[in-house]
Amino acid sequence: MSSVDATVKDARPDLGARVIDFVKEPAARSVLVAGAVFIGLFIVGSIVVEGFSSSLSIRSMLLFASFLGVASVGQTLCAIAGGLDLSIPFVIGASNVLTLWLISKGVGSVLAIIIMLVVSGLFGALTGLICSTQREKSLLVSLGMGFAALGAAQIIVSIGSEHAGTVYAEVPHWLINTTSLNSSSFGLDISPAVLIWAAIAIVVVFFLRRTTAGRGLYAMAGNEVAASRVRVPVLRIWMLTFALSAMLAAFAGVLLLGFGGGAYAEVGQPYLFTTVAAVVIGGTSLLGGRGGYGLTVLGVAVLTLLNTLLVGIGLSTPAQQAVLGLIIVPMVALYGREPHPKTQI
Amino acid sequence: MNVAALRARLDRQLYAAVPIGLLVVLLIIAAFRGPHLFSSSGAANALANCAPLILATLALTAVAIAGRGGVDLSIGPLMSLVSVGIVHWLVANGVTGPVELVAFAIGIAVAFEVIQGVLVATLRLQPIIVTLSGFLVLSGLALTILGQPGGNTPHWLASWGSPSSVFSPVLLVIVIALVAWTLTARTTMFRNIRLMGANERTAYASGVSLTTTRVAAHVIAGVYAGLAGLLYTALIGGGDPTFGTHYTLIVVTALLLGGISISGGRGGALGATVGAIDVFLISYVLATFQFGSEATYAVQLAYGVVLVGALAVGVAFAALKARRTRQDTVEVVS
Repeated sequence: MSSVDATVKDARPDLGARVIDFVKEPAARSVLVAGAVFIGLFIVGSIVVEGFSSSLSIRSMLLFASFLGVASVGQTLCAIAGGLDLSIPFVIGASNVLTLWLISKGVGSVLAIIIMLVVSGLFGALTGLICSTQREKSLLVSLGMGFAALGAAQIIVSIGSEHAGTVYAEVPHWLINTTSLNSSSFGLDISPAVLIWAAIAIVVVFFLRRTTAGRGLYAMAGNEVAASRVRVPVLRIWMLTFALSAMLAAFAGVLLLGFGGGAYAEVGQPYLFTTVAAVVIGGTSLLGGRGGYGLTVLGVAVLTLLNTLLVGIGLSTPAQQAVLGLIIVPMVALYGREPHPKTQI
Repeated sequence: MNVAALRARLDRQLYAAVPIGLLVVLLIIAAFRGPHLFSSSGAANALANCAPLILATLALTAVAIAGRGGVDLSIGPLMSLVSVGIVHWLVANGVTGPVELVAFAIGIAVAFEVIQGVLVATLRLQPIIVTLSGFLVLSGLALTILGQPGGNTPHWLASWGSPSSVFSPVLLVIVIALVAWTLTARTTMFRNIRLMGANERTAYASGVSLTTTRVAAHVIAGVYAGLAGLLYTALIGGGDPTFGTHYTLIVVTALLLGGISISGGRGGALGATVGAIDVFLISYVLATFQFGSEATYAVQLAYGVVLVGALAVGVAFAALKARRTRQDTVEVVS
C-alpha cells in the first residue's frame, strides 16, 4: 500500500514544477508577459506623465480602448481560424459614411444601424464563403472585399451629392452621448460605449468557450479535414466568423461616427494594423487554433496604455508609430515563436 | 527541346494564365477607351508609372516564394524611406550622381530587408508580424526625416520620371531587373528558396540552411525594393514620406493579381510583372470613364472586385486541374 501511495505522490509534480509547466504554456506566458508590460506601462506612465492615472485620463483610455476592442473582435476570430481579416478598416469606414447617409435620407437612426449590421453581416458571410476554399487566401479576399466595400459605399453616398465620398448631416444626439467622454451610464461615470464593449467581450468569450460553433472554430483551425470528419460545419463556421467580424467592424464604425460627430471614410485606416497588433500582443497566434478574445482585451489594454504614454511624453504621431513597431517584435518573440522545423519531422 | 520538357515549362507558367487573360481584356478595353496608351508618349508615360510597381511586386514575390505566409507589408514605407533619404540626405547635400543614388537606394533597402530576414529566420516569428513592425517603424521614420512631400531630384532622375519615349533608361532598368531575376531564378540558392517556401521541413531535412536561404530571399527583395523606391522618386520628382501606406496595399494587390501564392513556393517574374501592369491598366481604363469626383472610389471598387474575381477564377482553375489529375491523397492541413 505504502508503495502505491508513494507512486501517486511521485506522479504529481510539486508546486514549483507545476508553475514552471504553466509558464511553459504559450498562452500563460503571453498573459504573464502582456500583463507585466501592462503593469509596467501603467507605473511608468503614472510617474512620467502628469495626470496619467487621473479619472479623466483613465476614462478616455477606456473609451479609446472600446473602439479598438470592438474592431478587434473580428480579427481575433479570424486569427483563431488561421486567417486575417484585412477588410475591417474598410468596413469601419463604409459603415461610418453609410450610416450617416441613411440617417440623412430620413431613415430612423436605430433602423439605420440595424440595416448596416445586417448588410455588413451578409457582406462578411460572402467573404467567408470565398475564403473557405483556401484559408491562406483570407488575406487577399478580405483585402479585395474591403476595397470593394469602401469604394462602393463612397460611390453610393456621392450620387446626387456635391460632397464626394462623404456625408454632411447631423449625427443623432443619443449616439454622440453614447460615445462621449463626459456621459455616464446607470449613474456610473463611464461612457456607455465602454459598457457595450464589456458586454460584447463577455458574449464573445462565452461564444468561443462554450458554444459548439466556438469550439468548432478551434477544431477547424487545428485540422480542417479532421474537423469536417467529425461533422464540424467548416463552411458555416467560416461564414459566421467573417460575418461577425464585419458586423462588429460596422458597429465600430457606428461608434466612431458618434465619437467623431461626423462621417469620414478614412476613419478606419488606423485599425488596419492596430487590430492585428492587439491580437498578436495579446498572444493569439496568427497560425490559428490558439488564443482567445480575453487575450486580445489584454492586447488592446497594452496598446492603449502605450499610446497614451507616448502621447504623454510628447512624441509626435510618426514617432509613436515607430516605437509601436519596435515594441511588437520583442513582445511577440517572448511567446509567439514558431517551433523549429527539426522538432516537426 | 522535346515536347514533354516544353509542356513542363509551360505548366510552370500556368499560374500566370489568369493575370495574362486579364491583361488581354484590359488592353482591348484600353484600345477602345484610351488609345493614347498606344502612342509613343502614352506608352512612355505608362512605363514610368508601371516601373516602380513592377519592381516592388518583384520584391514582394521573392519574400512570398520563401513561404510562411510572407507578405512584405513594409514595402511601401521602405520605398518612402528611400525617396525621403535620396532627397533629404543625398540631393540636399549635393550628392547627385547616378552611382551614388542607386547604391544608396539599394544599400538602405537591402540593409533593412536583411534585418527583417534575420528576425524572421532566427526568432522564427511569423513574417507578417515582422513586416508589420517594419511598416510601422519605417512609416514613422520617413515622416520624422521629412515632415511632408517635397525636395528636389537631380535632372537625370527627373527625366526618368517623364520619359519622352518608351526607350528610356527606365526601360533599361526594367529589362536588367527582369534578366537578373531570370538568371537568379536558375541558381541553387533560388531553388532552395522555392523549396523552403513550398515545404520548410523538407528543405531542412535536405540540408538547406533555413537562415541563409531566408535572408537571401530578403536580400533579393531589398535590391528590387531599393530600385522601386528610386524609380518612384523619379516619378514623383521628390521625396514623399506618406505614399508608402497606401502603396503597400497596391503592391499586395499586384502580387495577388499576378497569381503568386503567399503560401510559398510558387510564383515568378512573369506573374509579378503582369500583375503590376494589370493594376496600372485598371486605373488607366477607369480614368477614361468620366466618373468625376467619384473616380478614386471607382478605382478602389474595381481593384477589389478584380482581386476577388481573379481569385475565384484561380480557385475554379485549381479545382478543374485537381479533378483532371484525380489525386487520391487526402490533403491534410497541418
